Amino acid sequence: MEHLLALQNLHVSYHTPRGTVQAVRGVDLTLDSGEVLAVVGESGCGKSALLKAIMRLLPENASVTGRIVVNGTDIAPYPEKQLQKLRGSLFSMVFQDPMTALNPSMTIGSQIAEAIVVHEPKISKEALRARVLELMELVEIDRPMERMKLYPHNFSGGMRQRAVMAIALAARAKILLADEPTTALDVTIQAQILDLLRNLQKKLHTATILVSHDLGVVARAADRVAVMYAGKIVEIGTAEEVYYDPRHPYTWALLRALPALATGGDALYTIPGMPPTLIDPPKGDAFACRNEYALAIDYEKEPPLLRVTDTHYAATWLLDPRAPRITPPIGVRRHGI
Amino acid sequence: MESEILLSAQNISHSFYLSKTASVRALDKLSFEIRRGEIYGLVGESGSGKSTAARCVMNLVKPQSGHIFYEGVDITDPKQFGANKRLLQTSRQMIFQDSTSSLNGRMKVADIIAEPMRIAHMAPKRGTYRKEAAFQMKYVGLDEIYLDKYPAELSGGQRQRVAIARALCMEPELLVADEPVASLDVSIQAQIVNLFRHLQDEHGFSFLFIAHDLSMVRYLCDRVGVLLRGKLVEEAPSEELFQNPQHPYTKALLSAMPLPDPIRERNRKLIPFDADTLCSQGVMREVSPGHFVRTEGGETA
Amino acid sequence: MKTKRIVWRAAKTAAIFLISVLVLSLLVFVVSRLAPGDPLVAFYGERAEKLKPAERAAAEARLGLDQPILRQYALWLKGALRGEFGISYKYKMDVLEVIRARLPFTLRLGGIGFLLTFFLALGLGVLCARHEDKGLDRALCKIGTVTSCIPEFWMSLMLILIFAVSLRVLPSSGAYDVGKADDLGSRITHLILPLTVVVLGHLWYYAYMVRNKMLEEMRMDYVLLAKSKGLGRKKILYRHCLRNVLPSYLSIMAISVPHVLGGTYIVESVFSYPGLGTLSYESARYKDYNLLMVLCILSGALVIACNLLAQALSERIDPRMRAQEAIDTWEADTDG
Repeated sequence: MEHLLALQNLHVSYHTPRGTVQAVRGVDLTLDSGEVLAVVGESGCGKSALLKAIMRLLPENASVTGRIVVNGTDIAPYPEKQLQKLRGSLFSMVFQDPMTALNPSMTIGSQIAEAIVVHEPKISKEALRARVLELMELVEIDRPMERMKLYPHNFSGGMRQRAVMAIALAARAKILLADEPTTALDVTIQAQILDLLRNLQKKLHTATILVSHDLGVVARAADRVAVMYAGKIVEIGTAEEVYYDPRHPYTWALLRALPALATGGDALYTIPGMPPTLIDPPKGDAFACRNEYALAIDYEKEPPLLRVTDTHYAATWLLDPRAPRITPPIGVRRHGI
Repeated sequence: MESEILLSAQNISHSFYLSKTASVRALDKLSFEIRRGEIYGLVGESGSGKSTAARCVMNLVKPQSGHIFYEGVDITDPKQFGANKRLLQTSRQMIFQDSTSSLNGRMKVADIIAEPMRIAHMAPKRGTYRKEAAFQMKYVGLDEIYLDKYPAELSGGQRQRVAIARALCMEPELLVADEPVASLDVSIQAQIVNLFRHLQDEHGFSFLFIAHDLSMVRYLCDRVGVLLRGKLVEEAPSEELFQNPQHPYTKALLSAMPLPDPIRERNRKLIPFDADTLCSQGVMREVSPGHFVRTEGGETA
Repeated sequence: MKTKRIVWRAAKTAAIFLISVLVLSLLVFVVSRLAPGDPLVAFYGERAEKLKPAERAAAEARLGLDQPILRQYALWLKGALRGEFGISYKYKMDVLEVIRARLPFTLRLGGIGFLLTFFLALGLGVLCARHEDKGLDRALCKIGTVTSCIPEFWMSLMLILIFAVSLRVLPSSGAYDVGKADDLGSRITHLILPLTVVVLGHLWYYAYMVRNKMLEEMRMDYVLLAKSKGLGRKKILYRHCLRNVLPSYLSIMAISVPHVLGGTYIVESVFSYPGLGTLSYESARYKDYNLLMVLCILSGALVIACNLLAQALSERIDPRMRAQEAIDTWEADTDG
């Protein structure tokens, strides 16, 4: 079956005066219509660079190699002009801080309208207005008639994020890339936005990549979860597999750090050390020196993604049949429905 | 269970004026107490007044009415404040959310940490201010090699530790932390929260912990107050509040608390609430020992 | 409700303006009189030194110079309110007449200079921002740094040397050739050199500002969002970034009207251009009190008016600054 989006051996590097930062180091991913894939990792693991690489929104000092295959066509070699046509209509982006993502001096309505007009320049005034209202209703903004004339600063954080989502959906994008869309919001609003993401994806059959640093947050919306560390995917699987049967020590560590899973008076688990600098990544497994379950081979040879099930892979030598058996220190207990 | 009250806020109200005709009521007759050695959490959404409450406790905002007693001193009274200035300025310290902007980027870590001591003309116990800074850094788990670094060279978690070390060097009694982990990665959040726990358990610090992350509050706090539009709607010991929430707003908040459990999360319904109807008249009534809920009408408790 | 508010605000602005001008006039009056120098020199020229004490006292009494300063001011104010600003000691004419004769020249030089500066700076700033760190941007920035380091008087002299003395293509001084006051061509050729100095003297400062503001805006998140909508670079630049730069540019330019006009004063004196600049210089030098007062108040009023205009402009253009909106914000927010 052909995937809507497939990344093959994607690399992103930033060329800085201090050296070349390898932000993404060979990522393979697939994404199908109607699914939400969550990409989780600490800041600096390359998750945002991955999203921006797909849309080619990276700054000028960045370079991208690898294949970005959409419906069977590799768009990686596309020039800027062709990419412009795809932005908004094929994929669009939702940003972390809705405060700064909207132009402060344009009304919400005109910013949504602009996103429609780019791809439909001949649309009539009435049709445009109707579409703006439809989009605002789609993202559940009440009283759209009045609100389309307001400016971003008149809106609360949650409202602004809804407006950004309306813009993202304006040209019927098939892939939604959401970069920490709820981090700047209150818990109640966060849950609402996640629900909205999920509903939209059901209604419009869009595919979503949802980037977050918090495994607790994405559980509500994700169908599949990919855990990233130091520019690589270290574990990927369905949400059930990753939460209930995590295999990579880094996934264990992320879960153990969540206070929601802490038992009683124990101190929260913290990952020792710091993420490696990606200017000169270490030999072997990048996580080895912070990993209490590291094997000798981890310092020598980088583990490939090893199969757990057909949908579940983890990049750890612990999955090798020769490795010692380790009981995972954590794993969310599966609850009945 | 009676323990000594360290801080007691009584009926504090404060409004911000947007223009001559419009004002926002940030605090509306808010009362709460912090006991010696406890971590008291204030939770609520943005705009609920939780940060204003923290600023009132720190004398950064003067409430328009009501009183705040710290160690029996009314800090809202200029005379009493003046008479106890030294006590009040050293024994309460604040930690802000954004360590990037709360640390002066042009000062070295060692100077940042020791600055409050210099300002208060405190003689460094360990000989020099530098040694004092090094001691505090070790205390919060930062290596001494960072003494001569600038904040921009540190990670978010390290910067927040510097902010905590700066607060600790005054040997405070009460630490007021306004969303101290909100801008950090989950794994770093855990480190900071563990540090708070350690400071409370081993050294008896008291905390006012302002947060919107409920799982963090549940894990860390002894007692929790839920704020809605500047009023407490529910207050209880932490476990009691999370096991047995009474007020509809608390229930709505808890229903939105993210859990790392996909199946349960997908099937969990958000409890909607309408802040206007909830915005609760009525009085706080005790439903079980230490558990207060704001209930409509009836006789006063 | 709305009209009432506008009227009220206009009245308030007018009151602020009048009070500021009044205070300014008092300050100028007192300071000019405290400064050393003999106003009678302006009136009698060389003869002033030969006056006998009695004659001098009589002359001072006639000009009202024997009174205490505050009383002099009161008298002056009384006249000023009736529109009588006295006569110029030097020109022996009503000061308003003197100024009326010179004003058009300064307005021409300053006005055209200002407009040119305004549009050229905007254009150059945007151009540089569009080609950030590429050859064109770097070249323009270098040229700008060099030109803005040249003092105006020196630049004037060099231009005169090159174009008037060596090449003999442009006139070196005055506003028109003798006897050709009505000849448009003559007036234009006389304007070119002074105008060049006025514009070059200010252009780069503002162009840099536009460039940096544009670059600042181009780093904002909303540019990424606009890009992810599928907008092209040019459209993002003109529709989004420029839109956010313009309000602050307009208000800064409004404040700098007096700055640019003030720049003409030096240029005028180098080119002996018969504008208010040369007049101000003379009136201060010769203690021509009445003339000096009006000139100072005129420039002061211009500064104050421009500041008020700038404020009004930024409130008008930038939706975030509109006072009423604060209330809407709160209402919309609570619904969220």
